[in-house]
Amino acid sequence: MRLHKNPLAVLRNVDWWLWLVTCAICVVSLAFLRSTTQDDPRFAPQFGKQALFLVVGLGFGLLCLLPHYVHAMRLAWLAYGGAVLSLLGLPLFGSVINGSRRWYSLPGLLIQPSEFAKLGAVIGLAALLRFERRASLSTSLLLPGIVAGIPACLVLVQPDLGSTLVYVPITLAMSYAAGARGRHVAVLCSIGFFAFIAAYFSVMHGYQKQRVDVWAQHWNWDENSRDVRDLLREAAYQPWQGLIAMGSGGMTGFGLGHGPQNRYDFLPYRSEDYIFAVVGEEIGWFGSMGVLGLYATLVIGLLRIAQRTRERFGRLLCVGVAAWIGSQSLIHVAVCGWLVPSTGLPMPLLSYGGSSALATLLAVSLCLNVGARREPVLAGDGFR
Amino acid sequence: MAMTVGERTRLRFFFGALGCVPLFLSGWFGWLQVLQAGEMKRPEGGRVALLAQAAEVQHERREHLPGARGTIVDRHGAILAMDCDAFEVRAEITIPRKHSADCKDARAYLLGMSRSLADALCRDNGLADRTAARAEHFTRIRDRIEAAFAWKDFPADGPLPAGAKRVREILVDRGVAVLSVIEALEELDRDQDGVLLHMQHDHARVYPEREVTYGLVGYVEDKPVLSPAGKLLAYRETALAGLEAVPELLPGAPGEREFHVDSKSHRFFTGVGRSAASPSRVESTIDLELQKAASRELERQALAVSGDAKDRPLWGALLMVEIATGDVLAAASWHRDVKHPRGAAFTPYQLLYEPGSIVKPLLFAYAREHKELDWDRSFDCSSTGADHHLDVPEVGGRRVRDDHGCGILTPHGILVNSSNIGSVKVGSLLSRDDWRRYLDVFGFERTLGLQMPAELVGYASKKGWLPGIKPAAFKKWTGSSYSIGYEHQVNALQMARAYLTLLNGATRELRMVRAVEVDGQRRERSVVAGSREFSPQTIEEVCAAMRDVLTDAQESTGRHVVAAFRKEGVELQGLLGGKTGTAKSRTTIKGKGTVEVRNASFVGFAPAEAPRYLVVCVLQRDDSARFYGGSYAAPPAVRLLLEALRLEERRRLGQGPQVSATPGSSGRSPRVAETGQAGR
Repeated sequence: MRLHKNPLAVLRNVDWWLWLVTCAICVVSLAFLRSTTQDDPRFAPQFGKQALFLVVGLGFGLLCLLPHYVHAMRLAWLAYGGAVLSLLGLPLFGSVINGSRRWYSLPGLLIQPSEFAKLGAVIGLAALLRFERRASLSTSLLLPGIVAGIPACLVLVQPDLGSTLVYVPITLAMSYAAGARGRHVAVLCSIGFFAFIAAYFSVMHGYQKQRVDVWAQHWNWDENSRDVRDLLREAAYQPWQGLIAMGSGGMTGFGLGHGPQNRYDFLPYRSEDYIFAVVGEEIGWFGSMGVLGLYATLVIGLLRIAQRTRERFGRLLCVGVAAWIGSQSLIHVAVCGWLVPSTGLPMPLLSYGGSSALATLLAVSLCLNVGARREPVLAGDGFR
Repeated sequence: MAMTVGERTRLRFFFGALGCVPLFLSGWFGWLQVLQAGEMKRPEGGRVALLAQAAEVQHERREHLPGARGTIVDRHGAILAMDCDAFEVRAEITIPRKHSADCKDARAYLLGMSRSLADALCRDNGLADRTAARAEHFTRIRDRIEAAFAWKDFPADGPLPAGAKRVREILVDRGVAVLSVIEALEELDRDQDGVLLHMQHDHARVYPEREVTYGLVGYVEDKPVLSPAGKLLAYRETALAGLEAVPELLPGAPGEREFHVDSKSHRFFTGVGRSAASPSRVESTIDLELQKAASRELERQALAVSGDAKDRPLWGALLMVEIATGDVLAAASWHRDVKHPRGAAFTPYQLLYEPGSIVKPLLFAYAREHKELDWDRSFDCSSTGADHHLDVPEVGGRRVRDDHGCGILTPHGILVNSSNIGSVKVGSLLSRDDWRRYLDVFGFERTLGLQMPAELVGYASKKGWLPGIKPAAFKKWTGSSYSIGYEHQVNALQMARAYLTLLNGATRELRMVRAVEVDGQRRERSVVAGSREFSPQTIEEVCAAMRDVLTDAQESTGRHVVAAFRKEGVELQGLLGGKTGTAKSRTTIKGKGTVEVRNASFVGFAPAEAPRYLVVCVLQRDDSARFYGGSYAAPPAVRLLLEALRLEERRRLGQGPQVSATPGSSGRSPRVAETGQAGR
């Protein structure tokens, strides 16, 4: 592993196209935040705050390109421990908003530690799995499961089921990339499925169960029936409005700021949990595919960095971040199309959320840092 | 550490797996947004409309602007009835999550909501009794909420039962027109969680002079429209009485306005839309000042008959007509046993009575004109005359007689004395066919044609007209009864029409509507005049007799009223003409069966020499006490005539329509609006 003597020299190797894609997503984010908050004075400050966080995040990300990512590897357990501690501190110091204790309230802003905990978990898992080339079930899946499970459980008790779910693909993807056996992953997926069913009957809150129920029922609905009409005004209101927003967008949408679902406030929490529905409504199928394309480009770019990186920590870090951004985005998009129950999960970088934006930009910067330090892949590498 | 083949494969697999999901999502959204073009079929379910219109359906509203019912004004433009803008208020009530955990809590929340809505509806400074109004609103709203949420099915405490509805819509009130109430409701909508108010355009019918025009202007009610199977289809506004039944008053074409609403039902108007047709305007013949005077005088007289409520007249009617045009200037109604005028008969045309002696001038005019009754001929009107048994049969089982001995009288004298014997003798000059024509000329069996509902058309007893009755028998019984105003029934307006015909010399019809303005087009209702029936000489001879009724001569039946007014400083002699009438008949009263009643009536005109105003008054009392037209029916009629002359003079001098205050007025509010607001 070679460290550059001139720290600025590394910038020549940075994948600036990927950086531009990230910036493009940030611009799209600001455009849609403007669209979703312009008519409502309660949410109007979100645009300015998000712009500030994105600028700070991009700037901080650029700074993070300068030191070698090996420092991150060295500080991995410190980062992981800090993340866990910040989650542990929530019951004592966190603020309750909408019935959840997820935020630290600082003057002028709220910090959501669970967003940084994802990055902490990815770094921790990468540090753990970098030695496990031919891992057993315990070392390749169970141990990483515990490492990821601790912050996941702490997030679950907030309660934040959506964010908890993201830990599953991150862990599975990183373990699999690190060498876990396919059948072990399959068995674990099956166990996870049954665990989810068990959790439905034992752990889930009433409102969470209701979300699952209405999702399971809605495929057979006749919305002309009175019961369904009542549900559409209660538990099914938000996903139903999201579906209408998506479906009404058509090929090209209503135009930025002109989507009626957005403009007339029919879609609650649209700047956070349903921003992709606004994308679908206002710029239609073409626009949605464009935004999905940007995310696909970002995730593929991250995975290409992983593919090119010979060093295992960096490679696993890229896989983890790609799995995080990719899975969270896909869950968000699937929620907007009511393909899965609503989860309240923001779309990374696109949705409003300073903590999410900072953590995601930091993670992308780390991956770019990894990519900038890659060594040429030798022909013999695959035939060692 | 180079990447192994296995690691490379795993990464590629991961690539592929992760790539499949966005591909699937692209396809799903393509199908949802493009291929389905907005309509998503669901297995075993209905179709979910997801066109662009699906979103529009949620935020686009088309507001129905109902057309206003027409305005009714009096002959000088004063408003008698009009529609004012109002709202129908509906509330969408949601039990908030924090209150739905416990039934007791939910019930308390809904009760609180009922109270808040009732309080808002009572934010009206014009309410006479706010406490009573609040209680009424609260009870009504609570019952509706209870029914909507099936509240009775809730257990005493514990969580809401499965299937309990958390969202329901109820009708709060209709005809909400008071600004402070609307503001209070908007405030509630804005500040209170769990309630969303929908305010739809509506109209409230307002009657500024309600108390004095109740039966005359009438009222409207929403009547249910049922299907043949008895299912309620809609409600239709129906006029149940008075001028409200004029067809041109029906609301014109409704308007429409489009606007947008957000999820909180806040409105964003997007255009002007199409206005509802402007309301029509019905110019009635009523003179509001005279109507007030008529109502006041009739009530005053009815109350003056006896201090004891049960001895007062059963009902009364007082009306005034302009002789030149047949315009009904005032028509007042009074009832003893009716708690509220709504639903009560409007006495001027919805109650019948036997007119008694006030038909005598009509009979004499007819006999003079058509049977060449010699005005100088003498009739023996003494009860003991030699030919008395021959000419004066029994009527109704009793021999016809007079209150006082009349002796030998000319037709003029018979009218002044109101001699029954003389009248029967004059009536005996008419054949059966003459009587038929007499009834036709004066319209006693003909509808008034005023387009007002539930008119009771007068009729003559059918017994005398049966084919088997011989002319002599007819003359002996029915003809004699007709001569003194028995065996046929009329309403007060029919009597006025009969005198209108006499005083004009030609058949005339009454008019209640002078003109109708629809869509800016004003159409006059013409004065209906028929063929000439009476010569000026006949009219003058009859009028002269009627003038002499109102003198202080010993034999005139109007001497008491002349004397009474002389005490007040008003000399009626030479100023007015009139005829008194008293009839004793039987009628059926609910709860009492058939009882004997007395009808005191008076018909008068003014000025005496060139009549312009005609007045008819009738009071019916349900006992056999002395109750005469000259003593009881004449005073309010005379006061009304005097008021008309006074008012005419004031208007001529440009002093405005002031009605002189009269002691004993009933303390009626000068402006009492009737709207849908409770407690008013």
